[in-house]
Amino acid sequence: MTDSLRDILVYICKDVCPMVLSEDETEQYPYAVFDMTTSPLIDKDGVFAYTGDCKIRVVSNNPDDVDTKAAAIQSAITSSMRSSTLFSRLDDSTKECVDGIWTYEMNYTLKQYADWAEPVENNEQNTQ
Amino acid sequence: MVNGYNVALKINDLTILGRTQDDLTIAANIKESQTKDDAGSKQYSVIGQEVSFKCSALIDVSGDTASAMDRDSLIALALEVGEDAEFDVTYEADDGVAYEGTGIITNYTESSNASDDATLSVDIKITGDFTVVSN
Repeated sequence: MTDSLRDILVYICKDVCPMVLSEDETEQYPYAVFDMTTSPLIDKDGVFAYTGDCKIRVVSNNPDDVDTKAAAIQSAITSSMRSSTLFSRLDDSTKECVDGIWTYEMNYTLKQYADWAEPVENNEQNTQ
Repeated sequence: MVNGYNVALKINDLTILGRTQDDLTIAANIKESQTKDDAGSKQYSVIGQEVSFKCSALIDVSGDTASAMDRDSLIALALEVGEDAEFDVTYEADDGVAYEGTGIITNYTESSNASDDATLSVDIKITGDFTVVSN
C-alpha cells in the first residue's frame, strides 16, 4: 500500500483553489497551502492505512475570500473523505489577520485505507 | 527476540482479520490447605490450569477471508451453542513451540465511535488440555 494522502488532498481541492505545499507559497491571493505529516498504521499483518496530520492555510487580503475558500475546502474534504477507504476529521480551525492579510487555518486528521489513483478525467466532457 | 506480529492465535487454522493484539493468560487452579503444623502459613498446590486468550482486531470487511476469520464468522461462532461452539485453537510464536487446544468464545465485544477505526475483541477460553503441538 502506498501513501497518497498529499495527492488525494490536492485532487479533492483542485476546483476550489490551487493547493500547494507551504514552501511554494506565493503572493497571489487567494491561495491555500498545506503541510502534512503522514505515518503508517499497522496491524499484525502489516500496513492497513496511512494517517496524516494536515495543516491547511487559506490566505487572502480579502476576509470574505478566506471564509468562502475555507468553507469550500471543508465541504470538499468532508464530502470526498467520509467513505470506507478515506476518512477526515476537522480537529480545529482559526482565523486571524496580520498586516491586512487574512489567514484561515484548519487542522485535519486524514486517513487512507486503500491504494489510490487519480481518476482519469472524461475527455469528452472536457472538450465540450 | 520475538516480534509481536510473529505471534499468532488461530481459530480453526485462521488468524483474525485485522488482528492487533493477542493476549494469553495461564492461570493456575490451586488447592489451599493448612494444618496445625504449618504454623499459620498456608500451603498451595496446583491442580490444573485455566488457559484463556483475549484478542483484539480492527473490523475489516474487505480483507482476505481465505486466510483470516472476519467479523461475521466470529459473530456466528460466538452465537453457537454446545459442541458447535467449540473450535480448534493453535497458538504459535515465530520459531518457538506451538500449542493447541479446543476453545470456546466466552465474550465478543465491538467498539465503534465517530472518529476512530471500529474494533472488536474476543475472549476465548480453552476447554480441556492445552498442549504442545507434536511435530
